[in-house]
Amino acid sequence: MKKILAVLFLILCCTKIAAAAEPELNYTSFGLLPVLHEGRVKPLDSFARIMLREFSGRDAVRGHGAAEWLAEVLFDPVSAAETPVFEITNPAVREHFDLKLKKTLFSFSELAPGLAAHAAETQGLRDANPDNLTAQQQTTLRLYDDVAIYSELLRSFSAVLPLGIDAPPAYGTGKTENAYVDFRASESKIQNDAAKLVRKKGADTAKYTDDEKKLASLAFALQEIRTAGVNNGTLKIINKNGQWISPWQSLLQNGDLKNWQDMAIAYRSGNAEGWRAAANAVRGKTPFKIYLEKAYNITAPFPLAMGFYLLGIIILAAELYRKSNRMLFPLLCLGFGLALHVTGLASRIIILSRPPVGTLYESLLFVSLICAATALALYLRRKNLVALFAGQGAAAFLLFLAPFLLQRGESMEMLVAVLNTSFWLGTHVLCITAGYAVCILAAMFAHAWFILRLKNAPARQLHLLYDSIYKTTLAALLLTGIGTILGGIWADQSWGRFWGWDPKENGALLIVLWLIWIQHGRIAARLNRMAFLAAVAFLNVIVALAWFGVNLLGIGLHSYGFITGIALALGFFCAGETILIATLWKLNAEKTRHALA
Amino acid sequence: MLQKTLQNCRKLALAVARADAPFYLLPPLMLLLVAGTLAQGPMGLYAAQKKFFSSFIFWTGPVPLPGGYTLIGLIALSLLVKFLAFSEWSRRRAGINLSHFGVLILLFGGLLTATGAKESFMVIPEDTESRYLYDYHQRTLYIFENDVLKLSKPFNELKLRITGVPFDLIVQNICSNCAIVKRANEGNYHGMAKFMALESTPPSKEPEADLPGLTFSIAGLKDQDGTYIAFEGMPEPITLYANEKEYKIIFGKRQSMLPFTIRLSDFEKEIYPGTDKARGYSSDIVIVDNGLEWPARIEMNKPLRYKGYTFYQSSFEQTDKMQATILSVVENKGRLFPYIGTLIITAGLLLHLAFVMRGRTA
Repeated sequence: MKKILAVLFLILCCTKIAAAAEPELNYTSFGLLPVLHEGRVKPLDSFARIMLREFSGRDAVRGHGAAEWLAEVLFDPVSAAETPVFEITNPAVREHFDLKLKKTLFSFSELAPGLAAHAAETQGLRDANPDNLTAQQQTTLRLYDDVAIYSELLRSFSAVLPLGIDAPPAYGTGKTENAYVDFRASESKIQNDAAKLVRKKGADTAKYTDDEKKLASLAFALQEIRTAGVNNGTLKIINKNGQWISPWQSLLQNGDLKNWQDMAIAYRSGNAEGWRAAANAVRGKTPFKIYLEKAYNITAPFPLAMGFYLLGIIILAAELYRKSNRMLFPLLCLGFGLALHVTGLASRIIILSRPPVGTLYESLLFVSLICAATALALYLRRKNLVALFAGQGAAAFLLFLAPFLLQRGESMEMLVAVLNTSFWLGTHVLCITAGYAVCILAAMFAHAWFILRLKNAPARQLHLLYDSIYKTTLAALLLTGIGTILGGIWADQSWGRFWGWDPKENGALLIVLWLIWIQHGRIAARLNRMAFLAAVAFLNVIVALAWFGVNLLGIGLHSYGFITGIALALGFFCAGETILIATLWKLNAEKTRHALA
Repeated sequence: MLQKTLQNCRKLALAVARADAPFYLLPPLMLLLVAGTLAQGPMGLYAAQKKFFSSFIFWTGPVPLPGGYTLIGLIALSLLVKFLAFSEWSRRRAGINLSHFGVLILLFGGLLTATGAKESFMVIPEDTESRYLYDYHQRTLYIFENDVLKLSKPFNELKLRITGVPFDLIVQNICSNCAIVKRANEGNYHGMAKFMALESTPPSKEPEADLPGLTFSIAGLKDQDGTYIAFEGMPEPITLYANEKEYKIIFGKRQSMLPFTIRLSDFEKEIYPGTDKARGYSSDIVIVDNGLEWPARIEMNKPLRYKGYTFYQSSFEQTDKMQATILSVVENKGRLFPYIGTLIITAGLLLHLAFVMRGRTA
């Protein structure tokens, strides 16, 4: 709570300063500044996006992009404190803090009084078992954490921001606006003189002369800013001989913050040229990875790829409706989508210096790519139009889901120690996730077979599709089988046992057993054609449970993959799929009976 | 008669080897897999695995159901009979036969692991050496005579009276998960038993969290006679004196010894800069064997293998004054089978897929 109070003080200090002119500034250089965050040096643009998403769940506030928002937070904390940035969707939490119930986005200033009032009782929640906390309590704790980080960000550059206090002439710096750094050399003298003044005249400022009042105010402000700043290490933006430190840490190590002060002055005065020059001076030579990540952020390749896949489906449907054979535009859309998808994944490989799949989010990106790429391959090889629909549809759906799997806004996480192995990430993980993709495609083909049969599709088309389904399930068995065994060998290498019946391992085995079962059922003629197809279609449910469901259990050695909050959605998906498959099967069986009758 | 018996055997073998067998055996195995996985939440990983997977039967109320051993055993039997007696040895079936053979290799490796693998761990503080292995689950009562091991009794074999020492040790009570409570009554209690008693409580979800212990009485040592308690992790051993010899009673994890020594030169925990998230753990060790010594390194995903033992970087302990590495140690004769099985299954499935892709339709 001290942090919040310190920020409130900073805001009070700065209230005399005229609000900054609305700057027409270019944030390109600012966004390219490197910063160390969560174990990785990344562009400030990425940092801003992660923070803004964490606080607000959005990529922009009040029409300002993340970098612009962060610049305001760092260099104009008074305005930033009034910017509604904290999203509270839980009405009970809003009520708890006496906030307006109709809004969901609140500013730091709106939240601060409520948070301060409930600080003591909330502290008790930190000692409780997180599993026993209600959703409201969890949201409350997260809100406190977010506000603590925000308050640190607001004070990151408090040393170079104008104090808004007139310094007595004896301590004047000759500047119209003075910052903490300007008094760094004379700070101890100011504090000593102020202490002498208190000893001589007491603490009642009514007895002070005007200059003495200014001295007391200045000494108090410097002390408060210093106390609140010295431990501020959130924004590690200064590279001192390979060690990344915050502005305050730099100041305590006698670092020079002049360029940062110039940036602050330029920002506050709306001086576009000064802002650009100061940002460039701070930035120096920018590494390629920083450029690449900024470009990745701006282009947002995966949402764009999703858009192209959807467009491809729409155009393909339109062409088929018109009974046209022109495939140029649907294929172009798929091609553009794939190009963006591959570029996005390649960028991530370069930025993170590791294979593309290490988290649940990344597995969605990769599985969707395999779906789309396989669709293109099947079309080019066998003119399989169903593959184009199924592959692009699955890819678009998975890309749509991906952002929901991000736990705290960061999409490029550093991996836990056991996952830090390019060999196993590049073999087991890619193999098993490619297996998921092929399973999904097989299931989508099976759905399509049922639908096409109900639509009286030609027998040859159905036969070819059935043949594709059979071969796809074999490929799925190959990939998931080998992927599962490779996972066992990885477990043997890292944990000392090949198989431990861990939920994640069991999930993978379930897919393999299901695929073996349906193949043997087909061979033994225990599953007729439609039962076989229904079982293939049900692969969607099996894969969903093995891919996501087991992570919800929160038990086992695969703790790095644990997730929460998707149980309901997963339940709806599984139930919906089961009902859909049962309905399609029943309708097809009725159709067969009618045909026989 | 013989011919009829042979015919019946062949019929039975044929029935076992048909594709119907996995068709009927796999659904119960999948159900077991789902049930055993879901049960891990409420029951804990170890207990659920033991009940559902490492068992021949398990009970659901009064109903016995086949456990993992039974179902996997039946599938293995079916596959073995099919592979040996009824496989169609043709180019067309080569991939399938090879895959089946790979699965058999994998299952055989699993059998060797299930019956013969030993898992333990060792704790080595920096700049010290050790050859002691501690079992993860088994506990033992040790009695040392003048610091030389006199006898050891596994926890599950602790009988009423322990002989072989010059005093009577009578086990009064054992608990696999004890609660330490303040002793309410007064009596002839010694050591920690003067102040506390052990009460049996239900086992924890994970056995590592259990506190096993026992209450016993000593007779034949006059003023040392009385009731004692011993539990895992007790700070000091129980010390008794008889016939001018010192006897120490220690209860804890079962220990065994490596045929060589490992010295820890350095343990390193590497973290991502600016975070407390571990990037990797590694132990620089020296193997000391038969007067020879040489350095080696154990890292996450890079175990050390020597003389049939495999050492894995498992965990660590850290205080202000010292760091210690914790290494998992596994002896497993079936270790290579998954590797061989994987290669064979991969080759088999690729061969079959290539055959199917070349033109055969479903």
